[in-house]
Amino acid sequence: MTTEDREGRDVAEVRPRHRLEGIAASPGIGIGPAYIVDRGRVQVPRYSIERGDVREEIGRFREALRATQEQLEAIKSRLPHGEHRQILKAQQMMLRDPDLTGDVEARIREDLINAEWAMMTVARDVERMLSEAADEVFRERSSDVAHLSNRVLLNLLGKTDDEIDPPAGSVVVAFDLSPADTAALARADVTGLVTEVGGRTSHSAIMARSLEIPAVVGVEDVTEYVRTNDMVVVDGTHGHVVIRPTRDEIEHWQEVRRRYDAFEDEVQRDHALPATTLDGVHVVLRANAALDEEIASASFHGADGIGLYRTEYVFMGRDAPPTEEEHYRRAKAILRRMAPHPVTFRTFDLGADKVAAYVRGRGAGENPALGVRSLRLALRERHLFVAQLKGLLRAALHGPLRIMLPFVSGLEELEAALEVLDEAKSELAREGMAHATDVPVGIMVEVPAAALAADRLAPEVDFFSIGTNDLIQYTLAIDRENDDVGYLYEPLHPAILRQLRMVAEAGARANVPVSLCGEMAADPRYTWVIVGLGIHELSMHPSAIPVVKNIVRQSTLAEMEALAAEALAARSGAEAERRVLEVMQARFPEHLEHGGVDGLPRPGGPVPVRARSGDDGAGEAGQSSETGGYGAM
Amino acid sequence: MTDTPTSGTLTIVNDLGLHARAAAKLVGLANKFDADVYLEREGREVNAKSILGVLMLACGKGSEIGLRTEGPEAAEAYAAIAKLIEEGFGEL
Repeated sequence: MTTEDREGRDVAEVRPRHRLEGIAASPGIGIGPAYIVDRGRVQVPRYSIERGDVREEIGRFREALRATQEQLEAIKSRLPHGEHRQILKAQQMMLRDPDLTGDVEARIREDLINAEWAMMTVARDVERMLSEAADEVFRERSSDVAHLSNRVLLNLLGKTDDEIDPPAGSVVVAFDLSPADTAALARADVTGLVTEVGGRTSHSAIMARSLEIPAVVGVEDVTEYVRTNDMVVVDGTHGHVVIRPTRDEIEHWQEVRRRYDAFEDEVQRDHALPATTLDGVHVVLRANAALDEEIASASFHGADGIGLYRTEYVFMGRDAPPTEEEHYRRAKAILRRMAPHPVTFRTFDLGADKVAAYVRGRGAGENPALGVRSLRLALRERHLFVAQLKGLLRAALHGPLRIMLPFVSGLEELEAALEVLDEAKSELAREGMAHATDVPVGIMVEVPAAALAADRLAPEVDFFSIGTNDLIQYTLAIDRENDDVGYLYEPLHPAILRQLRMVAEAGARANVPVSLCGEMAADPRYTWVIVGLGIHELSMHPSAIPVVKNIVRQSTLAEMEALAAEALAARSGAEAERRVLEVMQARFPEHLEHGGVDGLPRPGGPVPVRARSGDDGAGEAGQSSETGGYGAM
Repeated sequence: MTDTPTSGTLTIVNDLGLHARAAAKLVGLANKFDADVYLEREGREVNAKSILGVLMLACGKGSEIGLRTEGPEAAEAYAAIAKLIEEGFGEL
C-alpha cells in the first residue's frame, strides 16, 4: 500500500487496518462520528384471524415472499461478484427454505395468527438458534435472517421505503443507499458519506455532490470495520477513509480541511461575476438540482439558472403519484426562487434504478437500463405524464420554464411525446386553466442513437442537453453502478468526443443551443475540452460552478479549442486523457486537486485489483477467499 | 441394487466449515436429487435441503457429521454430497 499522500508526506503513522480506500465521489473533508445505516426492526402488528381467512393470509405471505425474492434479485443484479452477492444468494435460498416458510405457514394455520406475527416469531426462533452457535461465522448468519425477515415484514406491511435519520454532524456509513435514502440525507446535516458499493456516477455519489457532502464510495467491507460512533474521516477529494483516527491524525485532517475550505473561499469570491473567457466569450453555467436545498445552493454558487431539474424524486418514496396540482405548485415555487433565471424541468426519468411503488416492475425486463424506463415509461403511463406536463405548462406563467424530455432515441418517440404535450395543452384549454403555450421544449441527448441522429432531431426541438453519464454508459457498454468496470469509464474516448462534436455541430447548424449536463461538466479537467468542442453551456452540481467559472475566466476560447482538437485527434481515450490532464494539471493544479478528480478510475489503466489497502490480513484471510463458487449449484 | 453407501460419517475439512456459502452449495446440490437427505451432528439431525437447518448445525472445521440419504436417488445423492464435503466445497 502507498503510505504517501499527494504531496509526498509520509502518513505511515496511520494504523494500517483502519485506513481504507475507495472512489472519491464528492470533494471535501468530513470528520465525525459514524452513523451506520442498519434498518432496524419494524413495528409488527399482532392480531387473530378467522379460520376461513387462513388461505388468504397464507396467500398474502407467499406474495410477500415473491416480492422479497424479486427485490433481492434486483439488488443482486447490481452487485459485482463477491461476498455480498453470496449473502444475498443465501438469503434467497432461505426464502425458499421449508424450515422457514413451512413453519410460518403452519403458525398461520394452527395459531390463527396474522402473517407478520408468524413471520417475526419464526425468524426470531431461527435467529436465536443461530446466535447460540459457538462459532462466530454462524452467529453472524443470524443477522442475515434478521435482515431477511425485516424485508419480508416490510413487504407484508406494504412499506417500500424506510427512512434513515442520521444525526447532524455524523458520517453516514452504509453498504448501499437507495435513491430514497440519499434523498433523506438532504434533510439531515451530515458531514460525510461512505458506502461499500457504487461508482462515481452512482446516485449516491451524485446526490452527495449535490448536497456538498464529502463522500467516498466503493469502499470494500467498510461496514465491517466501523461501529456506531467510531470517529471517521472522509476525504472525498482523494478517496481516503480513516476509521478511529488518532489525535494527531485528526489534527492533520483538520488542517487538510482548512486548506480545502480556503481554496473554496477563493473561487467562491468571484461567483457572482460572469463566466466570460479572456477573449470575451460567455459560457453559460447552470446548476443541476433535484431538491429544495440545491436551489438555494444554485443561487449561492452563482448559477445562471437550473439546467437540469430532476423531477423523478417527487415520484419516489410515496404510495400515489403526484397530482397535476402538486407539479404546478412545486414548479411555481422553484421558478420564483430562481427568478429571473430559467429553470429546465426534465420530465420524470423513472425506471432502471429509480423506481416508484405504483409503477414498479412494469416492463423493466431482465435489463432495466435497456427496458421501459424514462420517456418510454412516461409514454406508457400516459396519465402520469399528462399530469406532469399540465402542471408544468401552468407553472410556466410564473417564470422562464423549459421542458426537457429524457431518453429520446429517435424522431417518432419525440413526436409521440410532443403529441402528449399537445394533449395536455388542449385539456387545459378545455378546462379553462391558464397556461403558457410557448414553452421551449428540448431533449436530453443521452442515448447514442440520439447523438448520432442529432441533425434529424434538431429541427424539432428548442434545445439539446447532452447527458454524458448515460451517453458514456450506453456507448462504452459499462454499467455505471458496477465498480468492477469503472476503469472503462472514459469520458474522452474517441467515440464520446465524436458524438459531443456531432451534437454541437448539429445544434449550431439548426441554431439550437447545446448544453452538457452530465458529471463531466463538473470535472475541472474537462472544462477546456467541452467548451472547446463548441458546447458553451454547462450544467453541473451547484458546488462545482465556482471552480469551473474560475477556469473559464482565466482561459481563452482559442486555447480551449486547441486542446479539444488535440483530444479529438488522439488515438484512444487514454491518450486523450493523458494529454488533457497534462495541460490542465500544469495550468490549474489547485483546481484539479480540490475539484474532486483524483479518485476517478484512470482511463486506460490496468484492470484494478480489488484489494483492501492497509489490511493487516489477520483473521480476514477466510473472508477474502469468498469469491465465485456458485457455479456448481 | 448396488452396495453403494447411503449413510456414513464425514469430516468437514475446509477452514470456514459449513458456513453460508458452503451450506448454500450443499443445499443446492441436495435439492437436485429425488431423495431425502439428512445431516446429523451431535445427536441433532436436520433436513439437508434446508439452508437454515444446515446452518443451525454450526459445523466448524473438523466437525464430524453424519450423512444419510433415502429415496430413489439416495445412492447418487450420497455420493455427490460426500464428494462435495470431502473436497472442502471447492475451497481447499
